[in-house]
Amino acid sequence: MRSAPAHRLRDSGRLPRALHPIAWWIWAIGLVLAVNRTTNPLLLILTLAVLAFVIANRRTDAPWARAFKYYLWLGLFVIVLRIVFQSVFSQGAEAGDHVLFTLPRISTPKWYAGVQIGGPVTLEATLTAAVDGLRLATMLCCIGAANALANPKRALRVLPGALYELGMAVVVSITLAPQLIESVQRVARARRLRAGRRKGWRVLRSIATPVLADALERSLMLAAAMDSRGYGRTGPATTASRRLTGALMLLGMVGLCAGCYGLLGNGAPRFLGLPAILAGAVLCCGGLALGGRRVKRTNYRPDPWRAPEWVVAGCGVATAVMLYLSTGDDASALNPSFYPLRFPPLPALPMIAILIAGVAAVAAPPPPKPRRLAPSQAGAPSRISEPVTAPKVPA
Amino acid sequence: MSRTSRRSLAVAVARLLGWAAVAVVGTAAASGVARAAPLSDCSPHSGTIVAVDFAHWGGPLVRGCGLDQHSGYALLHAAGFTTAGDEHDGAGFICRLGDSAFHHGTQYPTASEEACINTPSASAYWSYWLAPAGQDRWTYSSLGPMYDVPKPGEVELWTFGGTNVGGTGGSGVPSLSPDSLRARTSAASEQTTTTTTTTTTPTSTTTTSHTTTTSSSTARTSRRARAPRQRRDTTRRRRHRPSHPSPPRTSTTPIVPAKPTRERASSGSAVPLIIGISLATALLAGAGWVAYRRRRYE
Repeated sequence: MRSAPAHRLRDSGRLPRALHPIAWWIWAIGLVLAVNRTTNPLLLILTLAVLAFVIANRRTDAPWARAFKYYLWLGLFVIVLRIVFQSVFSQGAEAGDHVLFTLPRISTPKWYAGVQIGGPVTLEATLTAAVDGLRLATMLCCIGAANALANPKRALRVLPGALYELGMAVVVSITLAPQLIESVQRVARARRLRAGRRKGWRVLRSIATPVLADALERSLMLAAAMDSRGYGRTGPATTASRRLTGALMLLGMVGLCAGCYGLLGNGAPRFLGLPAILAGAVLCCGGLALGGRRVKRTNYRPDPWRAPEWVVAGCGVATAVMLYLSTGDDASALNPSFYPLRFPPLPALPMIAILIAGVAAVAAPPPPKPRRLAPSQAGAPSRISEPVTAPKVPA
Repeated sequence: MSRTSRRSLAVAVARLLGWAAVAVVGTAAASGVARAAPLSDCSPHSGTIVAVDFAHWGGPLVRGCGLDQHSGYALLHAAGFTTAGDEHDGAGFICRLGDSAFHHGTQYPTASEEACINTPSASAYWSYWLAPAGQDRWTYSSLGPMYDVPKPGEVELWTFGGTNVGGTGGSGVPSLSPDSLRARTSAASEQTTTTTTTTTTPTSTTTTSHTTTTSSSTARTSRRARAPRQRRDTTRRRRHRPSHPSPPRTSTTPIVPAKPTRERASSGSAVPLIIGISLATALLAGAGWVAYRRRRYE
């Protein structure tokens, strides 16, 4: 039963390997940008279906690859919250609207008359709110898909050298949570096997003490390992170069902030928009490059960027570009109105664009086989005799 | 994954059912066609005049009338205007306005100018002005059109442009007096409705000062609003009269009666819905199948 999986035999022509994480991120961000252009519920549902299809085909068995369902829950929460707010801050109803129910009106003082609380809740308003929430939920799920498909630890490798301390801290903190959970589970299992159950606050002590000791032990081991590999040395940076790096980064950040304000705010001077953003980006890149020179890193087993990476990233970019191009043609099909109530249309070009994103499910290589069994399959007794996870080869 | 895909499948099925319900309701109840009250129905003491200023796009000021309407929104529709809300705030936020008397009922601003997804910016939106009976200056409405109740003898005006927070300055401040739009005696109002190029002259000093505010704030309108504004300026130059050295904007804006617009009552075709849902279902079924095999062989 646990021999070569059948669905991998179909992909026998290709070697299973993990796709470059950046390719998955480009693909997902392209989808986010595409989704941002539309409030058509059919296109949004299609996007969710494409996400599910790609994830089902190409996710690994790592713990983060099971994260997608939490994003789905989060999306559902967003939709519900949006509908609740829409219902509470009612827009009122007109003849021809379909009133679902009426909430009691709370009268607001005259100086606060712009906000109405309570009132009739119409089907039209609820649907509009639901679709608006669905758009945000779909965007969240796109990010969730990237999280499920790409290995976060390997994604941090592409951080510029100047930020390697940051990346290191993130990797350590990402690893911490699974280790803690594993540690808690181990201690709980050991407690179950022992007789004499304690109750109340003592339980906490009997769990917390070994878990904390475990965590401390791990940290010391990690610190020793990192120290022996040369982490934390300052490198050949001079005071002048460090100051120059700091100045470049600060100016660049100021430029980025001013640029965002210029692009988003109304009535801001024209030069604050794109020019400021570009100048800020150039300064930041300069600062990162300068700061990165003091750090010398070697890459152990670098992730290759081959044809599948190009195809997957290209799919995402193509989807975003096609939706941006089609906005002018059928604006009403991309953003259909529910006043009066009618069926949403399904514009052809955006639909094809979203389906193109699904090509990633075939273009990406099959995910690598798990090198060790998942904890749920390993069985409890063997885990206690082997507290440190030993690599297990599938039989 | 299997649990995930099963859940997403369940979500999709739930949505499908929801949409089917919507479809049934949508086809069952087609929204009614607005019936316009003729302008002559409004007198100084009964009915409410509502006017929409399309001058931003070089159009006329369209004037309509409604009797005993329960909201400013209903008044607009009763007078023959069509409205569209934005995605974020719903139909209660007037994002587009249209009438058959101008460009065959095209709603302005058009989709290329304003997407009407988020709340339009304060520099280019339809602002709502009220003048109760006997008052010859505009009040910036503190209520939305869904909650304002039109009173007999009142005049309501929609102008496109920008305002500040208090509604005291900006290109959206009306440049003509409420009295020039008010219903006279029935004979006089008939006359106004028949002549389409009636000129109105500013009667009070407040109007003139508003006009100067308008021209000064033209310079700082948003980029979006620039192109149509230039178009309007050329129209103004063409209609320029030598007798007025600096004519206020209102002197060339024709006032035309509103024409009822037949609102689209069809609920559209269900075919795109079926195609979209089947595509999504097929993809989800594929995902579920892959997840099932994966779980079985691993």
